[in-house]
Amino acid sequence: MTTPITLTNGLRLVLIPTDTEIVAVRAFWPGGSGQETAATQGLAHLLSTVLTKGCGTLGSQAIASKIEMVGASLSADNQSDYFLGGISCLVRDLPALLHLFAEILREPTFPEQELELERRNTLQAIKSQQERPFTVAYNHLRQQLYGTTHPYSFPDYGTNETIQQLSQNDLATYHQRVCQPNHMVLCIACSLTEAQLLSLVEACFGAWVVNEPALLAPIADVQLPPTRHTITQTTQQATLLLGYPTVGLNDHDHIALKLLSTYLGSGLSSRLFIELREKKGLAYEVSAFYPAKLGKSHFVTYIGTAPENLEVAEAGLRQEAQRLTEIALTADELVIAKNKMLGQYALGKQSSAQLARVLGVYEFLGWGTAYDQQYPELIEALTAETIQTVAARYFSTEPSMTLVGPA
Amino acid sequence: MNSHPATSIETLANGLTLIALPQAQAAVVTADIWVRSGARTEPFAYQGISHFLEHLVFKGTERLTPGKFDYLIEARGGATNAATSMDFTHYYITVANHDLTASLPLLADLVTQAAIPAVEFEPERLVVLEEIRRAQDNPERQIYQTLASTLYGDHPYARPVLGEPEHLWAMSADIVRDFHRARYQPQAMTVVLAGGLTAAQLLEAGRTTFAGLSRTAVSEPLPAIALPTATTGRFIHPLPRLQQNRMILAWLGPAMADLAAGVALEFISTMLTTGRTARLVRLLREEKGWARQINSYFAFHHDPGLFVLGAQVETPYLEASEELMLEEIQRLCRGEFTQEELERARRLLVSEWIFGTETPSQTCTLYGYYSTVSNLDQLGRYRTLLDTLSAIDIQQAAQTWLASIPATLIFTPE
Repeated sequence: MTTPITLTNGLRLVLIPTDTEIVAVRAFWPGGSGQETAATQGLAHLLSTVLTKGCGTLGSQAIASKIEMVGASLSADNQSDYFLGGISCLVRDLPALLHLFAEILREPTFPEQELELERRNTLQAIKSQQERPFTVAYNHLRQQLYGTTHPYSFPDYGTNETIQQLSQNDLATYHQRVCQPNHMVLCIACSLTEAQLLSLVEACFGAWVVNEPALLAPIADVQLPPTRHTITQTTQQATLLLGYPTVGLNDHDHIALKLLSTYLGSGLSSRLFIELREKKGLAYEVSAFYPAKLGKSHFVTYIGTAPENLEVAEAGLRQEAQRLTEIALTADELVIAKNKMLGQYALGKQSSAQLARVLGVYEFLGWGTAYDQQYPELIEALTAETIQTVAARYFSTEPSMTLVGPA
Repeated sequence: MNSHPATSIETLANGLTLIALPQAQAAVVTADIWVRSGARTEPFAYQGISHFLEHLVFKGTERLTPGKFDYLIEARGGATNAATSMDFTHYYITVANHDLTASLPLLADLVTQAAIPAVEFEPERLVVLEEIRRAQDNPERQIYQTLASTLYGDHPYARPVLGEPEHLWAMSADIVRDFHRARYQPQAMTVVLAGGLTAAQLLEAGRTTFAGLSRTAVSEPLPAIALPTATTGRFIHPLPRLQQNRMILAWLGPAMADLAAGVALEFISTMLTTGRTARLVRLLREEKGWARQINSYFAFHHDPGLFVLGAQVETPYLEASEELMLEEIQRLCRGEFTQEELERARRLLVSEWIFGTETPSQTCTLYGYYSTVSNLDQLGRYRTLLDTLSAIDIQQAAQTWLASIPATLIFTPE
């Protein structure tokens, strides 16, 4: 249903037919924060905030006006391994807005005064992060897991020092290096016909010539010895994170790790929810997550609890990960975890924007849109034995621990 | 008159309202039970009981052991959750289309037949106490709570939905169970079903599941609530762990019954702060660089709503920003806005409506909310007003509700 079309300049176009007036356009291109160095931390985020603020002869207010006057929205974001931009609008407005979107990607001007404004806002945002104990803890845990020079350890907004240093040239150079049609995937969920969309996309992006091949630095492999770190904040709850080094999304173990994260942390019937919240009343929030990354990722279990419960809570989190290395999931547990993954997958593809994002990422990662059908098969193929082996591979080691809470 | 082309509404003999909204392209159905009971109508001594009850409902019934419901829904790949607010409490599941007939009776049993077992009561109280602690660690939440208590005074909207620890300690399983029996009556409920089945299928599932639910002879009248009176003045609050000043200007607004005025205030908030070209965003953030995270909203409630204008403001610009915000409000009161600004707001609000009814769960939330706090005719009117509201209507609402001096709250790092 969604075979990608490749334009002559290499841009890969994924079209998702719909029957609604809502249109979602999502573009993916390489880079993201994963290409930052210690000296350029925060570059990807700053670039994303300034990207939509000038293109061709249009200034920030002129761009925003074109979008807002038709009730549409425009976004640009950075992930750890790619950039993502998009437009959500009604079908009647797509032609004009797709031209604008193409101009933003092809000819951004990164106006100096917009950079200064967003630089200042970013410095304020860095301060604001301190208000959220979970963010403070997770930022530090990533440093413990990756060391301070690996891009996956950098805080999203960068640091005061790096944000003050970044120049217009840094933004423009980085953008030109990674935002090239031959590395871009454009995904459009829309009710127009394939022929209509193809001619529109050709008109907007067809004349875009490749400048030079994008050379991306590979994401380095690091594995640091586990550490424990406490950050004192005058909070009522203690926020405790345990982090286990794992692998990236192209590894064989990826799906099994996703299942483990579902089993431990997803929903009201998840293992951590039942054992630590429902049975012991230790927490309101207790969960697990495993972020999808190209390079080596990590698996986190976490809890927010009263300081006097910390020991029990940490022992509980550890024990639940440990248990998965020792005993296999029962047949029933396995079926349920699989059904949850399948169900959540379906629930995550309801809106046009969700569909465009999911299928666009698959194409961008080189898995192809057919991965949409393969993913359920990969889930079904998991065995209890595989899952235990994978759990043993990552949860047998001592995790790194980060704690934010009162002294 | 309905805003959704295929809305079917029925009132069952027991008084329960059933709404069916077929969305042919959807692979899932959301079933959402709304109860006209929330923090607004709680006994004073048991603040937070609605929210605590919502937690305890998940502890099962005679037929569903604790955790069994979550298990049965999630094991099928479905999702479930609940939320408590001032004017309502609701419980919902989203499941595959073919799972509705098996899942809906489970949700109905869970919500209407809650056993509230004594043995589950104590551990769940600890969970809610953790939830309160977590809320206290969240500055945004604390700021909202201070705002609500400043503006609403003795009115229940001033209180936290979660309650305070002492209220939770004062409750027992019996007290919560009695509250459930008194409030969760069919005539206080709306069930919304939206998703990829036909209206006939959705209605049939609803009727079969809920027709047998009986109402008890008498339900206690809800406590009478005096309306809040306007608070004005300037309030400065140092907050621990805060890193940035937050400035909030707030006015009490119309109640839900005065829908047109509320919609006009939504236009005003959109003109002021939605998007980069919105007045205050352009002036304060983009041009002067004094503030960020500029936002405003009109919060509809059953009783008087709240118009809020807020921003993170750098210390040297606090007073100037406040002046500028007030000046722009005064200009709107004088009708100083262009037709283009008005039409921009209209397009944004219509888009919000279209994008906000894309999935079954979103649709259920909109219809359930209106049926519970207002009525569905008003929802249809809401959509019409987005198309018809004029510059005069907007100016009049601004004059009526925003011409007075607001309450200004400034939160500063401690």
